[in-house]
Amino acid sequence: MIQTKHLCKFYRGSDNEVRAVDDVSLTISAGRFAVLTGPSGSGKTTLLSLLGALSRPSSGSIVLEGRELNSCSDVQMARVRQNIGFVFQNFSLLPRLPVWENVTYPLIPRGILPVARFEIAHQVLRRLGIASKVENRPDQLSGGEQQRVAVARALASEPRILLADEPTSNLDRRAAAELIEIFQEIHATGVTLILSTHNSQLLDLATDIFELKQGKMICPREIGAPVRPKDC
Amino acid sequence: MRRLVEIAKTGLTAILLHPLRSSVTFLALMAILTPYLTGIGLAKGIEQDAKSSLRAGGDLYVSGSQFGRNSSLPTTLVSRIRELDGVAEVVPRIVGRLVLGREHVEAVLVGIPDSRFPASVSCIAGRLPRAGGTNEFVVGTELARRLKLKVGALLPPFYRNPRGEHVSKTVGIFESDVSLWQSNLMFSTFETAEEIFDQEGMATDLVVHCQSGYVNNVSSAIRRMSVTSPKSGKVIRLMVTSREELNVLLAEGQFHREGIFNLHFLLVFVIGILVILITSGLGLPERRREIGILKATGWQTDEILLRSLVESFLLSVGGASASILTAFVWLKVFNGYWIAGVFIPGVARAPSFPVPFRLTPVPAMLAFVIALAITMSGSIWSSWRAAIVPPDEAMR
Repeated sequence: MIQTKHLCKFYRGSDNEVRAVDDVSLTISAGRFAVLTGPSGSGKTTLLSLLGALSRPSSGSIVLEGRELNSCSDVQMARVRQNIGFVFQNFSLLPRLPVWENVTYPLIPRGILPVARFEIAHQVLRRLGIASKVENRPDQLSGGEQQRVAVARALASEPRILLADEPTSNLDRRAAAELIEIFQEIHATGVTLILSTHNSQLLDLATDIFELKQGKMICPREIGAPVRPKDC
Repeated sequence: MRRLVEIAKTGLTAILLHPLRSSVTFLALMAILTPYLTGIGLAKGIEQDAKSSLRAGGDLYVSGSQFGRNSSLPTTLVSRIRELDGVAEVVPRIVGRLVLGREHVEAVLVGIPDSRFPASVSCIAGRLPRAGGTNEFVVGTELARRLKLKVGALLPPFYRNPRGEHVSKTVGIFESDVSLWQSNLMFSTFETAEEIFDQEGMATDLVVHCQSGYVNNVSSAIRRMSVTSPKSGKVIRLMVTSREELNVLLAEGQFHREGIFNLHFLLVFVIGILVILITSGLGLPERRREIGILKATGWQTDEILLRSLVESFLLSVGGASASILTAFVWLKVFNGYWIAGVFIPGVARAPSFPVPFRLTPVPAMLAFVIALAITMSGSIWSSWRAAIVPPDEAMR
């Protein structure tokens, strides 16, 4: 389970303080398909970064599977990240490494040998339908394929939580539809999914929707449950 | 352990991931280390040559002093020293400076009895000067090249004395085991040197060969001798320098020369670090982003630093090894082109004799340490800076 309480993240701008995430409290149970939505600049990416232990909040707390992240050391934060898969909006692949190396680079500190890593990469990429690209470099792939590699990297360490930042925004309709199918399959295996998106198809699949505006949560919604007016 | 090995292996990958940065660092290392290794190699070679000369020379060197300045010695002293117990042989020598040709090329003339020409001197053309053959020279290959001298070539009157102007003849061109001698040395008979410097019956110094175990006794006996100048009748104080003392002086002189070179190198080293720091900025945003990605996917700061350390280490080993190899090629194949002139006075850009050099392990190790220090200062700091910030900030 992921729980935040009065979560805030402020950035110091040139002449004012930017409140990227402002007093956000939410709870996402294990195995849910949660979607963060809202206009550009509403704080979705920042909130995902906080949930993915990629940055620390200015105030408030995050509890991730029973662990309070605020009290974690940098080393502990790194261990938390090892159990979270993160798909970045711009893929964030290492351009000069082949696909299989990109997918399994996070496994290197675990001491997994290259042969075993290649096997893992092959399995995950086969699951995502791009096993034939295992030796290619990212710049030899289409946007959709690169996004799948990014998903494969997030899945290679078999995380219990997968976060994805606008995963369909850089893809055409067909590639987006294929990726959405992949997310459905991943969710079906029991992985908790938290995505930020504007994509209506993903919104339709969501079990929880959290709408943000100017850093504030304006409408947490559990699909099938009545909307609580006091929260909106 | 396997974990550390796997992380360490990514250090090599990191070099390949940033080819521009790696190439610039590698070339900068070579640019800094190669002249250093070449210079030190030359200095060591010169030192070795000088030691060989000393080994081939006498046990004692006797020179004169008046008013604290060097003065010549009467050759009558030769027979007096020969009579001392334990003396095997005494060879008078004249060593003097000459300026030759229109280009005013500086040379050193060594006049010794023809029977005592050093065994390490052999003529590659012509012959050695003969007794009675006045104004005959052999010259080193480098000096011959600079003065465009061949066997049989006449040197225009470059000295005159009360007996008139003199034309000298090149009778041979020599090579020596002590290759430095080829750069500016001329040999003639003792008599010719007496003529040239107009110092009949005088020698600049005497080389004394002693029987085993007699060096100290002979040295003391020579110091006690009283000698007067045949011209002025004034006393000449005798100074005796042993081979061991010369060895010490040589080491001090060498240390001084290397010290000056090292000082210059230190300046280059400081500039080199600045250059590396600037060049390490090449692709810095990309590198910072890459570290951000690694952190975001679960790498820890110490793992990233280990990766960076291995990357620096490999670059250092590569840069230092390539520098050693290039220094060797510079000295062996290109014969110390240009740099030999820094260490050997009067040598042209392209020396015409094999320059002495010796690449020893200590400077090679030092080169590696310097390379490591330079690459570490360029990469570890920037890696650490990128690794300690939150991943999302590093990736931005």
